[in-house]
Order: sequence, then C-alpha cells, then structure tokens
Amino acid sequence: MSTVAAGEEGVMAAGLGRRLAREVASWSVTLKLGAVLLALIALAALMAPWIAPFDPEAQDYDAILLPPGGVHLFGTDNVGRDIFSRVLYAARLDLSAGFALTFVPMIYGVLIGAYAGYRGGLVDAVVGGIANVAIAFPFLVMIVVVVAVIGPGIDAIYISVFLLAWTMYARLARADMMVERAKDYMLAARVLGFSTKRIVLRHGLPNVVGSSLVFAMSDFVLNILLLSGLSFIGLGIQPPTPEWGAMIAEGKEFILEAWWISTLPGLAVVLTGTALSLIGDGLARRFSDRHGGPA
Amino acid sequence: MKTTFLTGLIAVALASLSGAAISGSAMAEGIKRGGTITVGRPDEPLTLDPFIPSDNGSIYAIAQICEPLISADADGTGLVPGLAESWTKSDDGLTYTFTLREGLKFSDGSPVTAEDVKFSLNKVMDPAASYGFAFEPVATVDVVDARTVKMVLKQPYTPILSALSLFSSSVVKKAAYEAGAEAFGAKPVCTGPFMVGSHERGSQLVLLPNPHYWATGEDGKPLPYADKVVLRYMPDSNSRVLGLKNGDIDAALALPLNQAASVKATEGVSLEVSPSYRLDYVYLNNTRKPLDDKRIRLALNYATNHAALMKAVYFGYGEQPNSFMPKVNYWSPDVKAIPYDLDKAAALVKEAGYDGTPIQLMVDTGNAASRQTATILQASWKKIGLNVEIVEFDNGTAFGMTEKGEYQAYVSYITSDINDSDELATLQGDGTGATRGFFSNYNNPEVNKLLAEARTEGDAAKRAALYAKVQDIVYNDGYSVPLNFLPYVNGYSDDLKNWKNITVGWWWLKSMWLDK
Repeated sequence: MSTVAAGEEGVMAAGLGRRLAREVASWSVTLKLGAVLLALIALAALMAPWIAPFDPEAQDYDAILLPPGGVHLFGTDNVGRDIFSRVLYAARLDLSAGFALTFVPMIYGVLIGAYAGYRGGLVDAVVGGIANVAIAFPFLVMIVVVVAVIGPGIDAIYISVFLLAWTMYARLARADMMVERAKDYMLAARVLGFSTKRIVLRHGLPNVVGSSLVFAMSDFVLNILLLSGLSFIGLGIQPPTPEWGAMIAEGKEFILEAWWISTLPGLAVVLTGTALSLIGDGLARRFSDRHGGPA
Repeated sequence: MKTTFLTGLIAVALASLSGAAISGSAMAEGIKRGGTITVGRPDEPLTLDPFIPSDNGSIYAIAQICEPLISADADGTGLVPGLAESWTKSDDGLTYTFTLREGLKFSDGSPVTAEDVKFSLNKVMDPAASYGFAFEPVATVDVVDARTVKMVLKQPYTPILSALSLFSSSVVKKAAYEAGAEAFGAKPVCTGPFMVGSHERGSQLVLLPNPHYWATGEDGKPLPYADKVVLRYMPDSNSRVLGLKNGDIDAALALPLNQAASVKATEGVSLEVSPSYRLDYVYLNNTRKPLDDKRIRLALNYATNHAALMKAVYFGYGEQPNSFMPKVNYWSPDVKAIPYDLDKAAALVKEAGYDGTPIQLMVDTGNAASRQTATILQASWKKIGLNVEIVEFDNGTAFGMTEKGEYQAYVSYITSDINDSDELATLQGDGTGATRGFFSNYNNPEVNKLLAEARTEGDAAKRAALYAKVQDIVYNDGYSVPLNFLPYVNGYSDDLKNWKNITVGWWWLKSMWLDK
C-alpha cells in the first residue's frame, strides 16, 4: 500500500508519521475493518508457536474426538490432535502461501504488461499471444500434469500458479499503460530523453499498479481457496502438515458426529476471505478517490 | 473313477440343504415375496463381464447375475454345488468330471449346454485373463455329452474346486458372448438369480429376477424373493448412513467405523459385523531402498502402534493380524503377532545402518481412513528415526504405480475371492508369479517350494501345516506391514431378512426378502 506514496519518499522524511496517520484517516470503514481483521489473523499466525497450546502434529490417543471447550478450545480430531493449534499453524501456511501465490506472479505480470503496453507493436503482440495461450490453459489440467511430473505438494501448486497466474496482471497493467502512454507527462518524459526503463518503472508503473493491487486482494482470497481446495482433493498440502482445506477434508468423514473438525478451519477460511474482500473493496474506492475515476 | 472327499462334501451340502428344508418349512409361511431391495454401496461395477474385472465393485454385482459350476456357500467359508449338481475326481487326482443340473436355462430361456461351460472355462483359464493364474495347472476342458464336462490337470491341484467357485469361472452363454463382449459386459446372459434391468454409470444398477432361475426358495417357489434389487452407488459414506437411517436404502455397506455405534443405536436398523477375507496392510516394495533391508521392514512392523490404529481408525472393529494375508481357511493362529516395541524397532534401524533415505508412504486421495492410518504410522515411524513422507495419489494412479513397482509403501488392502488359502498365498507369497508377489518383489525360493507342495497336497491337515509355515516365514520376513483383519461392518434395515455379507465379499440377495 505504501507503493502509492513511493514517488514522494525522502522529500519529507520527518512528516512520514503524520502522512501515514492522514492516509489511514482517509481510509473507508471497510478498508479499516479489513485491515484490522487481516492484521489480527496475521498476528495470530505469526505468534502461533507461542499461542498454540499444543504441538499441531502431536497425537494423543486418549483424547480423540473431544468437543470444543476446556483444554482443547476447538476440540480434537480422531487422532487426538488439538484443532485450535492446527488452525493457528495452518494460518501460517495458508497466509504465506496465499501471499506468495498472489504477489510473485503480480510482480512480473505487472512488469511484463506495463512494458508491453508501453512499447506496443510486435512486443505487445508476442506478449499478448503468450498470455492468451496461458489463459486458455485449464488450471486443473496444468496442476494434474505438474503433480504427475514432480508429485503432489506445495511445489506443484507454486509452479502451476507461477506459470499461469501472471496473465491477469499483465492484461490489467497493459490496458492501463496504453492509456497512460498517451498522456502529457509521459510525452514529456520521452522528450527529455529518459530511457524506456526509467519511463516505464518510474513514471508509468505507479499509475498502473492500482488496479492490479485491487485485483490482487480478490486473487489472494481465491488462492487461499485454491490451496484449500487442492488439499481437500489431495493434490495440495500432504498430511500431517496442518492446512485449512486438508483439515476440512479430514473432518468430512466425521461431520455428523464431530462437526468441529471441519467447521472451525472452514470458519478460518471464511474470516480470512472476508478480511481480504473488505480490503480489496476499500482499496478500489481509495484509488478511484485519488484518481477521480474508476481504478 | 472314485468319488473321494468330494462326495463327502456333497453329502454335507445335501445334509445342510435338507436341514434348511426342514427348518424352512416351518419358516416358509413367514416369507414375503415382492418389493424392492435397495443397497447403498461405496463402489460400482465397471463392467459385468465376468472375465475382465478384479475390482470388488464389479465382482459383487456379477455374483448376483452369473454363476459358476461350484458356488460359495451361505456364509462363504465352504463350497456347495452350483450349476454342477455333482462331480467326481479320478484316482490320480488329474481328471475331474462335472455333471450339470438338469434343465438349466440362461436368463434368455435358452438351455445351458456343456459347450457353454467349455467356452466359459477356456475364457477364465486364458493366462491373460485376470484370474488365469488360478487355472495354471489345468491342461484341457472337454465336452463329454450335453450335460457332462471333463477337466484334465497337468499335475494334482487341490484348490481347483475353490478356483471354480470364483465369479470369474461363471458360465456364460457362448453365442451371446461371441456376438460382442462389450454388449455382453453391459447385459450379461448368464444363469444367476438376477438379470440386468438397467444400469446408469455413476448412479445405480437395477436388477430384475431371472424368470428361468433353477433354485427354489424355502416356500417351494423359484428364487429370488424380491421383485427388484437396486445397487445404488453412494461413494460418500455419510450419505449411506443418512440413507439407511431415513429409510431410503435397506442396507448400507462399509459404514464409516466411527458411526457404527450410532447406527447400532438407531431404531429399526441393525449393525452387522461379519468375518471377512480381508486384510488391511501396507504394501512394501521389497527391492526399493531402504525397504530392501529386512531389518528396516521388520522395524516398521515393530513400530506400528496397533492399539492407536484400533482406537482412532478402526474404532475397535477387527484384530491385529499375525499374517501377511487374510484369514482364509488355512490361517494359523500359532504364528506370533509382532508386538509394538519401539526400542526393538530403533535397534533394528540402527543395525541396518539406515542412511536417511526417505520412505514415501502412498495413500489414495479422498480415502479418509487410509490417510489417518498413514498419519499414525508416520508419527511412530519417525520416532525410530525413519524419514517418512506421506503422498496422496488418486486410486488409479496409486495402484498403477504399485503394479509397475514404482513405489515404496502403499496403504491399501487385499480380499480373497475364494475360500482356499492358495489364491492369496500364491499371489502374494510366490515371487515368480506374474505379479511378482503382488507387487512386493518378495521372492523366497523356500516359500515358492512350500507353496508348490501345498498346491498338490491332497491331505487337508498336511496342507494346513504347509500354509502355516508359509505364513510364519513370509510374515516374519517383513513382507508387508499388516494392519487389521477388518470385518465387514454394514448397517441394514430390520425389515430386510436374511441379510448377510459373506466372507468372500458379496451378499446372497436371492435369498433375502422384505418384511414390510
């Protein structure tokens, strides 16, 4: 989020605190709510080793299928593992993997798109062609192919997502850049003889990254769901590592008797998704306020 | 020619039949005909062609439609005459002569001839067929007359009668099969109590009574009692439980064990726990590092926490195995089960000089029980210093990799389709077979020799001793990690009478009836 203000950095270092306070004050309620919620979840994930009352992989056969309450806040599963501890540890994995799955492709997606949008012509055609092929490729087929080659696990998900997910960002950045390119300040930069690199990175990029950031928030939610979904069907995180989707899958068999095994990790997914959606919504409004038009 | 213990077997069978007839006449008034029996299954038939499948989804459905010369009995542990009303064995044990029942008809009304029997047996004996291995010692099958078939063996082969009770030894109508195997696989023309009404893949198989069926019920009229049977495909275990509880289905197979108690407590339904020829075990590839070392394989066994598995996965159903194969007829209770002993296991790992090579433990995607089993195994195997990773593959991929030997360890199970130890003892223990000891690459010349001896031995006591020895050697060689002699745990409606899951896996739906 500080990317937006990056251009002015260093000019008034002393006023940074004040500027930040002013920035936050200008946020909408949804953005504040989402940020607080996400910060709390991230904090809980970060502090998991200190907060979690049990080892998330420790099995206790004398405490199987205990309902929520008492020592086990969220109850236990059928091998006697503490669900609360597992949900906390799973948050570490889901948030960090969701973050990487979203922002790594975003970085090169935006760069590729911005460059193609600025240069146009053959470069644009080639990048557009590659992007179209990547978009046409069904994601599930991709992941099944990658799993077949390197085996199931988080690496397979990283590879598949990194290969395909940049296209959306590239398209957004390209479209914005094509608009920006024709504006006077860009023309001025060109007349001054700045290098293409400088024009794209210093002048163009700050103005085209907004829509990608907004999209990244929904993408973040979808990536967490993707991770959980793939783990649910067994293509994702392998047991016994705690992961929300995998936990939901593990509890499926017990849903009639022990609802907590599936429901509570499911609630964690819903809460995180809500936080990210609120932030995305708030960011979209924030950018449209600043630019006086749709982001 | 001499009729040996086979006639004894028939006599016993006849005695039990007449016994049933006596008790039956008293009971016969209670039997109600008609109605639809609906069974919720976790699997479904892929084909109904008896010569192709080896999956239980297909096998148990075929057992309702097609019949072999000799049949599994009412609980699956013995043999009774099927399409053959009697048979004789020559003195040298090499020639068997089978006499068909009189007036047998296929479900299309055409008569069953010895030609059909010869055709069918030649199909199952084909070494390329899925059960060809069980007929390896058979030389020829010849037609003597319209109702008599002669089978000649290359060497004495005691389990032949059990092999003939396989679903795959079913008698099919030659003309119908030759007209097109694919069409036959969809609607077989056989002699069984039911025939195919309709089959929707992924949903259900509807069976209708065969109007030409030969066997009669306790009320003196032809079987089956029901007007219709629906085998419904319900892969989600919770749906089966709910379906049974709210009366949508009359029987729910393979209950999730954690819900068995709640099914038992439900008004109007009963819980069935029946002995099975099934063993849950971890397949081990005996030639892949580090499992090529017997000490590592035994360490895995010593570090298997059976008490935890029984509590968390099996919920008390089953017992710790003392064998590498299911409890089939020659199972020996005298082999000592390997105890849970982490110190001993750790010592074995150390002795073997384990270098940290990871062991990939494969489970089927979506199989909650396997996944839980793997989690528990991993926890205790890590304690003895082994590096264990769990990987999930869909069932087809996992079994494919197992077949090719491209695996280390695989959490799965095996079931026996016949009531003679030979099928599985040979399949699993004999490393020279087509499946290389059922994909274990286990090959012990001593065991191969003992198995060959047991197959030709005519005396039951001597055979039992030989199989006990095989059990002892293979089990203590760490062939696999046996987990549980898992019984069949099903739920059924109190209205469904005569329900029973027989040891070889299926259910005699023909003799079940509905009291409602």
